Parts: sequence; C-alpha cells; structure tokens
Amino acid sequence: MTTVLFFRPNKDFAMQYASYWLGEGIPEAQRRGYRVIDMIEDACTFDRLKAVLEEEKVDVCIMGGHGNPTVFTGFEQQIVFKACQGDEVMAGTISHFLSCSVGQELLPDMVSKGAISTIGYQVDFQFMVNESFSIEQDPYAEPFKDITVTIIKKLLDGATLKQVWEAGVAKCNEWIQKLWNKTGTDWAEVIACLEHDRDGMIALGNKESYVLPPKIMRLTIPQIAGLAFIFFLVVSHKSPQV
Amino acid sequence: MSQISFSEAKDLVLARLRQWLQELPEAERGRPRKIIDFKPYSVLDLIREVEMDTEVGKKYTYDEAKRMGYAIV
Repeated sequence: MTTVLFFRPNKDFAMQYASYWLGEGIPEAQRRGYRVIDMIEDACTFDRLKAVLEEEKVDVCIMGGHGNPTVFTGFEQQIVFKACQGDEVMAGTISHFLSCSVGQELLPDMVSKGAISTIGYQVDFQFMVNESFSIEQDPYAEPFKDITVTIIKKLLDGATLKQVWEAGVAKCNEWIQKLWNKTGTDWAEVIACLEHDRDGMIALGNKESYVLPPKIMRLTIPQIAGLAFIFFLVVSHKSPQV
Repeated sequence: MSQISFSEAKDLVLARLRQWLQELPEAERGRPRKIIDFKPYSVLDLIREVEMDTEVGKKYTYDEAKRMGYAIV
C-alpha cells in the first residue's frame, strides 16, 4: 500500500504553525487511500525516523522542522540530518521539506544519495502571524498554509516534481495577486514573505518523478443501486422456500 | 535598480519599521508578527535587530532594500 509519512515536531511557537499546516495534509492523504504514518513531537528524532524508514516502505515523506543549509532538526531541535550525514535514510522517497535553507546543501546531498526527488526551500522560510487569532484561523498565516497544503495535495495526486513545484509557485502568485490591493504594512509584509518563499522554493531530483496514488474504487449512485439489486437477487435466491 | 549604502538602506528600513509600529495597537507591538527562520519576531524585535546590526537585522535590511528597488553597495 502506498504510504506517506508526516514528520511534525511542534514544541515551539513557529513550529506549531508548520505542524498544523502539515497536519492538514493527513485527511487529504487518507481520502486518497494512502496509509499514513504520523510522527509528532517526541517521535520526531533521527532514530525513530530511521527505524520507521527501515521497517516500512515509505513512498512520500512530508517533513517539518528547523533547518539551515546543513542541518535539519526534529523534536526540541535535536539533529535529524547534519552536515549531510544520516540523509541516506531518505533514499527511495519523494519528499517535501518545510524547513529553512535545507535546499542549499542538505537536499541536494539527499538526492545524490538516492532520494527520488524533493521540494523545499533554499532560503529561510518566512511567514506572518497575528496572535489575536488561533493558529487555525490566523488570516496572515493562511496563505502559507494554503501553499504548503497545495504542495502536499499535488504530491499525493501523483503530479510530477515539476508540476508540484509549478503548483507551489502558482499558489504563491495567486495569493500575491489576491492581497495586492490590501492596505497596511502587515499585508505588505505578508506579500514580501510570499515573494521571498516563492523565489526560494527549490525542486531537486528527477523532475518527471511522481508517486503512484493508491487506487480507490469509487462507485456512482447507479452503480451502488445496481450492486444492491444484484445482492438482493442473490440473497433472495438463496432463501429457503416455504 | 538604484544603488545606496548599507547605512542609507538601514535608515530607510528603520523608518519603514517605525511606520509599521505606529500602525499597530500598542498591545500588538511586542507580540510576534513575522517569522524568520521559524523564529518569531515582533516589530519591536525587528527594529532592535536592525539597529544592532545583528545577522537577522542585516539580512532584513538587505531583503527590504532589494524589495524597495535598491541595491546595497
């Protein structure tokens, strides 16, 4: 069964937003018939990740965590991948990294060690928040959630790496256009963050690669009615005659 | 793209940040607004970072100057 792993440390203020956004991908994966492994909080360590990836065939990894060009961290900022060590465990996967600057060194190294493809950021990821709202309803954070979820959904739909990257960039542009006429420095800063993240979004690996989504049998209402009728006929035929 | 010095860019960026500060209700000024590198900064924090020439402050100055159409020389 096609499996997607979510890696969501969420112990600090900013990471709670990232964790929530990535979490929005879980029902999307389930709806598409994927098997979901959701690693959160203290499960987000290198040892646990390595164990899961060695034990199971994971096709897609959706990763959140602090990062810099050579380090990606998990729970309580414990190092998961450092100076391009440990990232070989990602071999054979397609991934998305919501993490700062890992696109500079870590992700290229990961691809050179057998990861099929990955999409992430080669700049520090920036976004805006307004604490007067809950994380779920923060209007300043909404565009960044939407972009993240768009990337996840596109990956899960079986789009190629190139298409996923294009969808992420297009979603950034859509939000920039939507917010262009808003007044106030807050919104100007939201647009600045969107432009910054868009320009720093990077896709690496085989650009034609994609994950094969699970096949789910979806029946139309006439098909369900037809099946029910056949079932009724079979059952009534088997019933003992009195 | 016009060219300016870092010190001129810093002045422009600080003026813009102070204008942003004025737009916010007082209670909001010290609360997280912008997340850079997954770390929260209030507008007051950003002013401090730029004034003190920290790494974040310098980067913010370069980014903002670029966005305003200036190249720092």
